Amino acid sequence: MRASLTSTLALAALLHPAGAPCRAQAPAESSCRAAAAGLGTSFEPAVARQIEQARRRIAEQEADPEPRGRLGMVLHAYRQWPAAELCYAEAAALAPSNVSWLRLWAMALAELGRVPEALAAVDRALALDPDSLPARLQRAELLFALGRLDESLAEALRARRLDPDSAAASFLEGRALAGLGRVEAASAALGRAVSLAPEHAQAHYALAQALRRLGRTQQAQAELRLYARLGSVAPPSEDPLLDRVLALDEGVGGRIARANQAALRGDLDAAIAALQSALAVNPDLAVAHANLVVLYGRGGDLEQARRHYQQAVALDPRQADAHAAWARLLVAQGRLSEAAGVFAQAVAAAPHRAELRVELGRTLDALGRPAEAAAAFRAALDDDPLHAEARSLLGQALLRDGRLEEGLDQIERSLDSGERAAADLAALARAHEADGRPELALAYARRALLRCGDRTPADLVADLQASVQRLESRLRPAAR
Amino acid sequence: MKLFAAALLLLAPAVAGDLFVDAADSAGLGFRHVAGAEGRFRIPEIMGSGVGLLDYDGDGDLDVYFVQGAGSDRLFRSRLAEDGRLAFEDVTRRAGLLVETRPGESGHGMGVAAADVDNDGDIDLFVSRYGPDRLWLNQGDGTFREAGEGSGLGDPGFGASAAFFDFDADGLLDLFLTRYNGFTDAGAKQCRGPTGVLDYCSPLEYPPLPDRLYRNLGGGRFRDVSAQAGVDQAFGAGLGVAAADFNGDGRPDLYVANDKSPNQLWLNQGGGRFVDDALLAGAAYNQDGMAEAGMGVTAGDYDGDGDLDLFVTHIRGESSTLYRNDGSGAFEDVTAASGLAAASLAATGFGVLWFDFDNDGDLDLFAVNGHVTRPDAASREPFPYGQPNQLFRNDGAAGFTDVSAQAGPALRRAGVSRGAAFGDLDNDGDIDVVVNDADGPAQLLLNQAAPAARGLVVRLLTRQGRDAYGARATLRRAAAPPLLRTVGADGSYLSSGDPRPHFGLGPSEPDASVSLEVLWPDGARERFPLTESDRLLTLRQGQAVAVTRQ
Repeated sequence: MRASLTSTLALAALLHPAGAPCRAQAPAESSCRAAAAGLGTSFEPAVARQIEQARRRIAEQEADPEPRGRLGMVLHAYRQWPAAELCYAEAAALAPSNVSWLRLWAMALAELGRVPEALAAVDRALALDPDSLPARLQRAELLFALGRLDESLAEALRARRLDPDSAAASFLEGRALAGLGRVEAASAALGRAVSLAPEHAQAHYALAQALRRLGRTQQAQAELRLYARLGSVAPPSEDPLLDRVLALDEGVGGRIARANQAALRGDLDAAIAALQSALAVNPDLAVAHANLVVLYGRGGDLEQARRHYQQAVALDPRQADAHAAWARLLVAQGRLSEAAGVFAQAVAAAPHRAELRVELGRTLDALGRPAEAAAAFRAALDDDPLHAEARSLLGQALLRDGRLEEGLDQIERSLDSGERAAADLAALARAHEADGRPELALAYARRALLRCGDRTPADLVADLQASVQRLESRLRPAAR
Repeated sequence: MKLFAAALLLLAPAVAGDLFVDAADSAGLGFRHVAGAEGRFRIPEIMGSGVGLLDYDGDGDLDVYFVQGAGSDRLFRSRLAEDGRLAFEDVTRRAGLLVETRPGESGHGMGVAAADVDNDGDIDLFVSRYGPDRLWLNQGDGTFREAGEGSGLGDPGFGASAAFFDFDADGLLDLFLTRYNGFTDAGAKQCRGPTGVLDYCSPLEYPPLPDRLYRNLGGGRFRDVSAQAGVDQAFGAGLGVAAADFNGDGRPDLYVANDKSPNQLWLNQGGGRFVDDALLAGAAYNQDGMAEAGMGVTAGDYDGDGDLDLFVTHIRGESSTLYRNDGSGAFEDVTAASGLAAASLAATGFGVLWFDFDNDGDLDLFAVNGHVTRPDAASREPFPYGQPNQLFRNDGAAGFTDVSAQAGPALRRAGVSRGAAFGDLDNDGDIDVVVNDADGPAQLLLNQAAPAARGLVVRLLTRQGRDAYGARATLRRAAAPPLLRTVGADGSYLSSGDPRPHFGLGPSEPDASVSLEVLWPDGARERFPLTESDRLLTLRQGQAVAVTRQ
């Protein structure tokens, strides 16, 4: 399998000494073009068109490496590694002094698990351009994957000399040092990486592990908290060449990803435009319609939101996200009965999504149907016992349904959840007061006030203050 | 009990130098998995199913239970001949295990765990499913009966790997079940690959399900104690599980491999409580803090330092991960330094086990592979997810070497391998492998790697006569370092292996002082003197000499 993937052309390129003259002879029939010919027939039309256009350029410019490399990049963007590898190999053979084709070829080879060959390609790139920081970083990565940690470290140090502000270089240095057992030095390098790129989640995690091995548990836990806050996000890109490849994704997936990015930065118009362009490619894309429900709803265009909701569920009645998005808009309009019905459809479509059951329960509770709400919250907890909000809301719904002991029990169990603690404690205070236990009610009301913060609703704070005053005055004679 | 027969393999045409040969056809192990892939890309189809090795009829050799995806599971009885020839016979119907699929039934067989759950001296079967799980109680007469709802094990969710272990040391084997995610047929999403071609969804498309811990109440009845034990306090899309004492406190812990979400290391606190320590222990993520696509997992002492290390298989592009234990239950990702990163980068691994394939005394790795999404979007194959399996030889300080290319044609074949169970099927002192390929024929990979080196297989029984799951056995010799092995059938992926510890002894050298030190699950220690010629032993707690010896 591995041998068959290595075209003779690729092997020839590997053996070709870097920088030496090369007869840039196009092969009689491009393997890359032939491989890509088999692709595309079942692909999205936009993707198939993009691939076919890139293919055609090879035929038009047979001796030119650029169309082959370009086709490789297109295939790379869609993770079609075997064909991409062939194209990059041909481009590199035709343009042996082009660093980009060698580096991209190395990426494709590494994806195919052919790491030693990838390293050879990067070595050739570095022979041509010893000061390429991305190539140095790439080489350090490949050496690390091959278990050649000393060499990986040396390469990371070279990269850092090229750019002392490269967080990636410091991260790779720290990783190699940790692997070599030089943990103190690793923690210093990783500390440098996180100071250069405070959002570098991987570096925070690696630093935490190094600190743990050094016995600095508290510092390790602090780094783990930072890591948890950042999540497993990719580190900042330091490779413009790779960025260029990824930007070539013209498929529906790429368009939706661009819509998500636009929505994240608050650019509703761009997000809507990206989704509409995805629908122009594939009008049956229920998920795009579902996202448009959210975006039009956010922009206040309820008619468009309704239209896309109807289209989404007509295409796929199990589109839980479309149901949920429309139900939320109904809630915002105060149309709670309709919203409950639509949330119920969302739950039926995705029965294990606890958050949908919670939203259904909230709506039922708001409609004055606490028993049904409690059932929804219980079902949410069956799927996610850690859903503190569901537990708290269950407790409150049970209290409203007159099931005092059960409600108190659930609220007590949810108290550690932090954010909702003031409201939970206030609910406990009210329940105990209503049940004739003013001492307990006062204790809970005081605790609730202590938990109030900037984000606590003002009416809750006022309500609690009034409760404390009332209970204190009620209990004062007894205290004497 | 069949007699030990050294390297007699007459059923499959072997080429000199092949390390494993596939003898499924010649031995009559004619099972073919049905994934049920009909173009709807239902998640259970691509997850495959497991395989179990168990001596269900107590005749001293391992029988094989295959979990079927769509259709009835199959039990194959081993008729191991005196000369070591293996032959299997399908006894599913006779054993009462045939389950006719009812019209409209959408369940799917996933994993299997074998153990004597009612301490009656025979091996029972737990089968996890997408759909209600099943407990089959062995009636001791060659037949099984389904325990039904009374067992307390009929969880209707998406069950995956399961491990029997005695977490509360009451002499009854409890059960931990990983559960995957909230996929349902009714709520199935349609997912596409980067080129827009329909394909299987990422696990993140569905919410993960909490795992389950069941306490054994005796008599084939269990109670869900997940909440009381605290194991519902963290969960991901669970696929693999290994039960072992990772921090050396004498209590069995759990390690759960999750797909695309952080793994859990449940440390047994005693009193029926567990705490997840994976994050600080360095075993939740790989060294870069990435939650990987955990599939299979295995625990074993690969570096001979007396503690249990972990190896977890992952999706293509992530490499598998080797977590080395420092003895206290803290782990370090040493994948790259061990030479396993590049070698596993292109593989999507599932079933896996630490075992000494060449009987040289250290633990090697065998990982079975197969893609979960189309590697080539243009492929016209109906189920184009095949990949070759891999064998990694432990070369001590030099790390691991991928020797798959030298292992023979069986390891060059590209299948969609999922479940893998490991055990000495022909009782010849080395470890063989049975693989359940999704939508393909099963493989019976007979070990031919170590004809010159010797192996020792020991069955360890509790005082009650049940396999002593959780026991630690250390082989001590005057002229060689100690070898730690454990008793248990867990690990790998959706599968249940030979619970008997196996020790590779290396080339024959005189050694006057050989003994096996056993730390039993109840904390008692016992030392059994062995002889140099021992190959296949049964030892029982409290009895100073072997029950059986060959």
